[in-house]
Amino acid sequence: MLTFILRRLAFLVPMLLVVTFVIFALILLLPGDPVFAILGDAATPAQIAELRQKLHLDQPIIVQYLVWLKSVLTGDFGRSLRTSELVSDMLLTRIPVTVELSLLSLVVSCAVGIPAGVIAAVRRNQWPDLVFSTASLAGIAMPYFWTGILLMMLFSVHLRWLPPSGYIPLFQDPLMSLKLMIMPALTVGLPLSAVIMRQTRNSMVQVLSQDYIRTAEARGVSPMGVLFLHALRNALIPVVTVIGLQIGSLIGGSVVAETMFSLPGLGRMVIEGIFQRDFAPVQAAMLIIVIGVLLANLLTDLSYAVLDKRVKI
Amino acid sequence: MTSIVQETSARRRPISQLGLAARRFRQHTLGKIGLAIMLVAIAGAVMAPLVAPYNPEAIDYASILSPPSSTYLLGTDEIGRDLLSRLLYGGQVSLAIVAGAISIALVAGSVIGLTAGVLGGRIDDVIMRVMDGLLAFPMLIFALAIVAVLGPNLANAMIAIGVVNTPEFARLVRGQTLSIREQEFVQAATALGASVPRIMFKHIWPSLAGNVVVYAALRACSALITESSLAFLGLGVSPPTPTWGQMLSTALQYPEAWWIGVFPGLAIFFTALSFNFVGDGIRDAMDAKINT
Repeated sequence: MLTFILRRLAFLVPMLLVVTFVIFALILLLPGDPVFAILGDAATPAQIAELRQKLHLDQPIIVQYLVWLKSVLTGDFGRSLRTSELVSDMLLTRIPVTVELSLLSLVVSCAVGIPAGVIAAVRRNQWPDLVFSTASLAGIAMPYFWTGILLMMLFSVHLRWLPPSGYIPLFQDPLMSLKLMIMPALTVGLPLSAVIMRQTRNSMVQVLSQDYIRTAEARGVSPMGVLFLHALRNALIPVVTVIGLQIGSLIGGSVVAETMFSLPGLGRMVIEGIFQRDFAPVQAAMLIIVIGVLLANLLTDLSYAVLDKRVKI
Repeated sequence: MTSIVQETSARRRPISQLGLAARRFRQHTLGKIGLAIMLVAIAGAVMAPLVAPYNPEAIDYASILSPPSSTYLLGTDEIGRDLLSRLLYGGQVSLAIVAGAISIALVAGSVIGLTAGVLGGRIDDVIMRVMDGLLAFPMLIFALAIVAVLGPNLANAMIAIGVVNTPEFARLVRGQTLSIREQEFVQAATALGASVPRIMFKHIWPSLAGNVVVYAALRACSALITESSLAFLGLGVSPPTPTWGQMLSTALQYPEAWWIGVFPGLAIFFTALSFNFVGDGIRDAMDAKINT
């Protein structure tokens, strides 16, 4: 197991180099010279040359990248141009919001997708299967923001059950915090549950037709026991992979949901930075998001090894 | 008697692969439904100047936020513009971006994938590590960052969505290239001294082009959703050019006007769904082995 983890970690290194270089290089594509942006038009050539040297802009791109990478590795993401707040401090307040939203969305998508998939598989080609399969087909073409708008129109305008938007930290007022998180979590979680439902149904159908299930039934294991103890455990292995592959899409969805529902998370940090042309926070938030995705993929691979003993470690 | 002879000879006539695929597609119910919806969406966008009841930018202050009625079939928006006309014109922008983006991804991804697959070794390793790294970015966030850097307009939206879809095409093409490369006809061409570009484009590409096209249809669904998400977040084509995603963003400020929140969403939803159905239909018809 340890060598497996180490091998997977070693595989992450080139990925991280590519990812960090892309995030770094995006800034190079920006039109305009950062030196002029900082000093203004009235700068003397000597001042320009001095700042250029200080910012390492006179060095080759690869050196600039290494300098940037070194500061990022020590947790120094620079300051926001607008508020001159330390970007690392901004990250600390925003990461918990995105993590809370992502986990709640994941709970929603599994709580909806897995039971729906199991029911559809058990009642294959009957009406529950038809209903769930149609719904999941529709869910794949459903943009996150449209789900959000429809939920908002239904729950906060029409029924007036939920506040339209806002954020309260979980520990300050847990009930209100969760109430505010319901719609964002549904916005992100429901489209995802469509994918999970489809995968659960397909692998459940496959597993239920196998010999060992018939053996278990013949041995007198109760139908529920067969379903949950024997079938679901094996059927869930591909589902776990699908969930892992969807983490990127889940985070993309939370960018939309955070913007729609005014949640101060990483996604909104990206959007705000883009609109204010303040790119240090954008870089930092993107980096954290991508590292999150990579770690989620790593966890998926590891859980795969735990769930399926046949995976050679 | 003669008719029987004709019939049997007709039956014996060899059918081309394409003809066979077209026949199978005609038996694919969802594929046909998808194709119908897709044609309606494309026709609506192309013929918008002819069929739109109003100018999409014409403002009618007397009927701001008016619900669907016989005058305005789908209602009006916050400054009294006809929603139906804006939907029809909005399709032009959204569909153009999807078509452009998928073409970019298809061409770039195929060239990258073919290069990696044919050359192999170190070059393959480096190219695929880079592609894996790009795939780690959530698609929407990557596209957002590219548009933010290049500036929001039609061409840049195409480029951004094209770039974020490229690694997926590259991976597909590379995988298929690796297996085709080992087949006799390619090895024969190599033995005869064919150049690398010739092997890539004359010998390998025709064998996998069909699968790439199927994949393009399937990716169009997610490209449309990414496009409308960018527009919704305010990083699409700038107003007053209507796009579906941007129309939906006004729904947030006027949630009581349900028609603004529902109709553009339905347009995106059905168009995206139709791409998916058509892609599935062609895949099944061509018996292509691609996982979505």
